[in-house]
Amino acid sequence: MSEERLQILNMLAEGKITADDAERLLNKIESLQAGDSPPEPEKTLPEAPESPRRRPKFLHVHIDGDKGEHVNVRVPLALIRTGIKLSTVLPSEASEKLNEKGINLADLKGMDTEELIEALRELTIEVDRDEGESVRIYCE
Amino acid sequence: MIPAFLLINFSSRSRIPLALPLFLLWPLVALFALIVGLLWLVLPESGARFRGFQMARGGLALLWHLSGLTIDVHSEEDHRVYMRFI
Repeated sequence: MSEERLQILNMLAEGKITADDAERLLNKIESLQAGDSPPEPEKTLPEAPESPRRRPKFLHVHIDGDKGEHVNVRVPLALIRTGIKLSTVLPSEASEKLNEKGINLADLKGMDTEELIEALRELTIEVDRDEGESVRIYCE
Repeated sequence: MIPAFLLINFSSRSRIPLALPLFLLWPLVALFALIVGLLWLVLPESGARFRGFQMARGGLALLWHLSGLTIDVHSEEDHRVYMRFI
């Protein structure tokens, strides 16, 4: 946990700031860490070699309905990684029940989770319907 | 990192989320981890023991990685369900 994040949590625990303030500050820190800083002016120097790309940390799911409703979910990829591992040690009865529904957890056993996370880096799914509904899934 | 707070809001009026101090549960989690570790050392090795240990370890790992999980849902009537582990 970064020092700034810890400081914010301490201030929240001590009641110096409200949960709303803490959330705003945490969002600010996350956006700065995600590289949302304002673009630098163009340079005339030759381009530097491409730096190694950052590993995505979160899976974002945004759904906007046609009547103004919307869903915004952000799942840490580490949670997905752990969830996959945990699913392989489910009791056999639970696995059989899921198998009846067409979900075969045995497929997850041989899966390389790191490879999956790597593949998710490039994942972007955007669906827009005429009625104004839209779904966007991406990793960041 | 195990989440320290759960920001939660199930209201249609108030926009300010409530902060639940999850860090108060940290001692319990540490105790659970200690018990799981001790059982791993003490109990005789068997298939059931191995699966149980793996599930307990997986549960702890899930808890550890919960930090950052955010769920924000707005209905068309402006009802809101908001949860965030920080």
